[in-house]
Amino acid sequence: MPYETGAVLDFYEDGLTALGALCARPWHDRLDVVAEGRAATLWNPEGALHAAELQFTAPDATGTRDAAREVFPGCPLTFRLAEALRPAVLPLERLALDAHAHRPPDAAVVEKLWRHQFDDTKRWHLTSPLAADFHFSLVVVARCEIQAIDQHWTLRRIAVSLPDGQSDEGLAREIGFARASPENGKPVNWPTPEPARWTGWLQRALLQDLSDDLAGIRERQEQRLRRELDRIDAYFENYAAELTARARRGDPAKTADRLAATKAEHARHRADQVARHEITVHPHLDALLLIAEPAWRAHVQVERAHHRSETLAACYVPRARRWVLT
Amino acid sequence: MQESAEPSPKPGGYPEGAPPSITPSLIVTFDVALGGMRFDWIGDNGKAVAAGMLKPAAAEIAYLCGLDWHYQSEDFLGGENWYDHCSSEPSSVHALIKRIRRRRVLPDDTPRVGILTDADIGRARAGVWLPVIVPTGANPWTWLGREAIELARLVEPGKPPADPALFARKLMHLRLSQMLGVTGPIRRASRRYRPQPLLFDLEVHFDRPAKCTRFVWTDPTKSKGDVTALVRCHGAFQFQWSVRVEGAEENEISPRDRNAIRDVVGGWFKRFPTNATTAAIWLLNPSPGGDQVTRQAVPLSGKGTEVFDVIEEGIIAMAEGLRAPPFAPPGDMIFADTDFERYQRRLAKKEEKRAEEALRRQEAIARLAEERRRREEREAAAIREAEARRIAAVKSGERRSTTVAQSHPLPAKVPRAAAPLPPVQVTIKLPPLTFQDPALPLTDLRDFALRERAALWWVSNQSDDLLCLANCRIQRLDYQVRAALRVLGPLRGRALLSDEVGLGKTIEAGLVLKELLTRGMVKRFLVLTLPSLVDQWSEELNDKFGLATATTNQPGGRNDAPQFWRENSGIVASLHTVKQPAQLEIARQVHWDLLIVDEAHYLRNRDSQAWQAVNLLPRQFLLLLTATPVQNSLEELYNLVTLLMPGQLPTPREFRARFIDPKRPRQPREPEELRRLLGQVMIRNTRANAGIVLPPRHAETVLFAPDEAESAFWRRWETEFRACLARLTASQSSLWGRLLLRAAGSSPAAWRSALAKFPDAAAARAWREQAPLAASWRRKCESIVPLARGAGGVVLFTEFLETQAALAEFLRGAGVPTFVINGATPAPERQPITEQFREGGGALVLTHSGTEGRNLQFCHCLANFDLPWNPMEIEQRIGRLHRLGQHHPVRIYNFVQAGTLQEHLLQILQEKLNLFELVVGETGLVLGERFSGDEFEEEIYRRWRESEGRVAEAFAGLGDELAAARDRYGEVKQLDETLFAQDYESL
Repeated sequence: MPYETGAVLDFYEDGLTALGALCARPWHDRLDVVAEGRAATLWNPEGALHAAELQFTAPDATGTRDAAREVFPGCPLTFRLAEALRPAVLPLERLALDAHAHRPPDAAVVEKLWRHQFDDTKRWHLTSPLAADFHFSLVVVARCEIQAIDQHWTLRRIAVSLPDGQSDEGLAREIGFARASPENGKPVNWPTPEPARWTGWLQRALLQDLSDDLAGIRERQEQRLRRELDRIDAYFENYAAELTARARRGDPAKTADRLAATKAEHARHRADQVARHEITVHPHLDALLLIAEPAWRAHVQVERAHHRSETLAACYVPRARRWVLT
Repeated sequence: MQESAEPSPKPGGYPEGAPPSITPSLIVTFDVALGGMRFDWIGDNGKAVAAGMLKPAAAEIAYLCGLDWHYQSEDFLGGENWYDHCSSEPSSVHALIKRIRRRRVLPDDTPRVGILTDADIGRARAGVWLPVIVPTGANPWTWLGREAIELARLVEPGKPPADPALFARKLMHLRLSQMLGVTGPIRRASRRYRPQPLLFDLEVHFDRPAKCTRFVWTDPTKSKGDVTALVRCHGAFQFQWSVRVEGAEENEISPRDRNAIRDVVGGWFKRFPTNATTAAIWLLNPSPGGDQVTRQAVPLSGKGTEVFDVIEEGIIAMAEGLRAPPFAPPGDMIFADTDFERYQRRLAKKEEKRAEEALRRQEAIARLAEERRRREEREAAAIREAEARRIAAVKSGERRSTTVAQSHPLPAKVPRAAAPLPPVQVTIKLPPLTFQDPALPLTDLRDFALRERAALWWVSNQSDDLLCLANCRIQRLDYQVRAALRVLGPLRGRALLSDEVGLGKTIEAGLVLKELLTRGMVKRFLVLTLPSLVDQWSEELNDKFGLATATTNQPGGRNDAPQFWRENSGIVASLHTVKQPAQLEIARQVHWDLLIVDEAHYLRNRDSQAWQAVNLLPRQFLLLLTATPVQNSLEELYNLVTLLMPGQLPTPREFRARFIDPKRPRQPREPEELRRLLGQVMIRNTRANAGIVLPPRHAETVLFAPDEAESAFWRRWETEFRACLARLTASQSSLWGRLLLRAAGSSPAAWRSALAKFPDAAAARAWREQAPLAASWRRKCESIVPLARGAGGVVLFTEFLETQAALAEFLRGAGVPTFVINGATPAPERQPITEQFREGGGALVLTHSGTEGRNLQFCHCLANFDLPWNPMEIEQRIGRLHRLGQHHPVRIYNFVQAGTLQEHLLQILQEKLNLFELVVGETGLVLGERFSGDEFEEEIYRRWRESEGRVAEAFAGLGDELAAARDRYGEVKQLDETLFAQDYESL
């Protein structure tokens, strides 16, 4: 996201207010802050009363910057504020989405959607009526740090369906516009957390989500690695050739030792470069949200190509217009 | 062009005496009888098929003077006549010769040249065709052109001669006389060209039985030697040169050296022009029986310079063989049998070396060409691959737009020409999910959205600038920030930081470290430095960057090495510790994210333990810090760069061949290329490009002469103290000796306090009671008062807390605002105290512990109330004031008592080491390995103990050593300034 002074100021105002500080805007690029306790820990670890006028400088401004009273790209205060808004231990928050339909969908429609989703279906038959239920998904916000000698940051919001771990890009995209169900809504039978399984699914979904970014970085790393390896290979091969040529005059045993050492050193430097050019993604989770959304549960008798007929428990998710096998 | 009435060159008139030829060829004869140069083209039947005559033409007008040419041939198509002319201008003559050459092109284009006269001229006999040897290497046609020019120049404009044939004969006679060297200089000598004389054959005999070297020059037309020369050794240090020409002998004596040989032999070669192609050199050896001589030819390739070299080497070998012991009679000289053989071997080795050098160069060129070819191939393959991908993308796009459901595999990638690349691994490290489980579900997404916004701004706030700057307690200097950014950016974390001394390499390395830590790219780091700098590094990292480190000086580093290396994430270690095999074995088990090696010039030797140790340590990022990357040879720089990036510079042998001139190992052969290569790994800031100018420093010695009673006491104390120390163990003696001597030079209070725990309590008590020190102490303190009342006050440094307290008490008593900081002063109070001193002036009294992290550039007056024995400590004191931000000349006052050890120490530090003039940071480089750590203090104590009262004499040797070290450092500094004077930033 581009650095915009107004947007940063909004964030400061909201963030500091959430932390308990009093904020006022005396000017378009200023924010008066009076903080105590948790909010004041941004300036002093003890949380003593702190009053300051923060000036939000334009990102292209030149000149010396005063980190104590100015906010600019790379300003440590911004990092501290963002970190203060993050709880020390991540909560697994729950949210039940508002139901948007009270009648079950038409069977012909859901059959069509089934056949579109599973295109090898030969026969399809609803063996039980569609019953109102909930479908659960896990939504995660993660700052992904990609280390490839240098460092890249990217923020990702991903969602995975809980029964099968499938990535749900639609939910991840639309969660910002979702509404919570009223408090007197249907009670939700929340699933039991399974951190180990969820970790695997999130890891897979993140890798998939980052694939475009990683492809570019990987290409660049490959080019660099190629250059480094060429340099190292050329050096050690020539060095070995020199040693071999020298062997005619010197002690053969000594030369053989040196050649072996050179070979080992060559291998070590190659391995060092290969390891050095590895790409590592460190996801830092910032929010964890368990979503319950209205769905229709049913049993379906299905006959697929090269399979025997079977009865499956499935859940139709109207938002996603797709079936989820349970 | 008028036709000559002279005899025409009739083909078939084969020159008399000329060598018969059975192949088509050309014979050119300088013919006196015909008065010109006759050209005879001989056919394959051995008969002349064409002939031409080039002869002088006289005229009144200058441009008509020159040479006339008449050519006649007898071909089966009928005869041909060709008349031509040229002036005496060289271009005109050469053009004519060129036309002649092209008229009849023969398979063997080289003419045979000779002289034919009608009367004896020098070696040329009447009627006998005398062959002329064209000088080696000269083009025969060009040579002929030059001879023709000389002939043409003899013709002067004027009235045409009555008898042109006679005129031509006279001119030809004159020219040949010159050629054969029987008359004086040519009448109209050319400025641009000297005619080539006839060349002699030469034989040189290294005559071992006769103990001489003999030269014989022979006219190639005669068998008998014309000139002989002899070289003998004369006495122990001279050569005797004898040359016999036409019966007359000339003698000369010269020193026995190569220059003399070159002068004399060179003179002979000028006097008797020698044909290098026919020169022969012989070795005359006595046969085993001793009555006969055997001849052995020295192989020659025919190059002129080689003949000369062989002769020179041979005469030198003879001289060495005949070298007589001093005072030995000439008859006893030994002409060792093996000398010539040794010489032969040396010559062969030289040749072999030359050939190897050439081969190496060729190999390097071939290798570079191969590398270029491979690179181009790779680039071409990459372009092809990219193009293939682009086409595939376009095609698949087209397909998508037309048939969505159709799914075909993409076209196969164009295979790369280069070797397979190991795959670049992508790893995702998601920590196991841990979370708390709130009881109630959310009613809205506001908190979630705010946390997401916070995460978004956290990511967007990432900057290409240094994020760590706000958390560093340093003065922001642009060149340092630039250096750190360059290390993190283009140099990708591996760099040689070689700023000039005093520009803050430590800060630059600290910035890189702090930034990487801030960004989470470094978890474990290791700083390697000299033992004496371990604590200083640790302090600096803590003070300036807020980084806590473990050091090898701490007990943990010594007692439990495995735990120390494995459990501490930030370590400052001594290079000497790491290179110990046991320590290295543990240290190399850890993967260091960042390795910093300070004073990296100690890694200049690739075979050293230190180099090997650093090479073995696994690391992601590596910084080498040195102000003097080259001390003796460019190979040192090579070793440093190889440690950083092996292959950035070529192999050692190739590097030597390409960049090092063996005669000048400090000067690169291809400086621009070397600079280009170094620019990819090296950063060097200089004062000039950083725009740093510091005001000067002035040091002054404040010398106190104690009164007679005190002097007598100190003399007696020193004698008794020596005796007491002699009774202690070596370590105790060193400890107490150093402590009490330093305390004695500081204050009575410090001395008395130190004496309190002296092992010989009785002696200590007696000394304490007898010492009459009050008067001199008062005088010393009183001299501080005016300094403290001066503008900006004075910063006083002392080693002892007791001195600090006593001095502060005295100054306060004298009404001077006095501020005290020492190790006991709490950290938060230090800055306010410093600020008070800054605002109010007076005296700020500091101990070593109180000095840490204090920047006192606002004050420009410093007093060393006592003198530490470690020059580095004094330098650090100076560095607190004499640093960036100082605008006034800094005055340094050194307080010492006359006749004491401190006085002698100050003298050598000031006069021999130039301590007070060195840039802060240079002292360590001057002292080098010899005095790292507390070895300098130990050395002072050792010299004092062994001096037996003659301290000045004992310190003189140390002074000389320091002066020599300073001079050496001066040379190194000069060298580095020369080598790296250019801008390395813009690369």
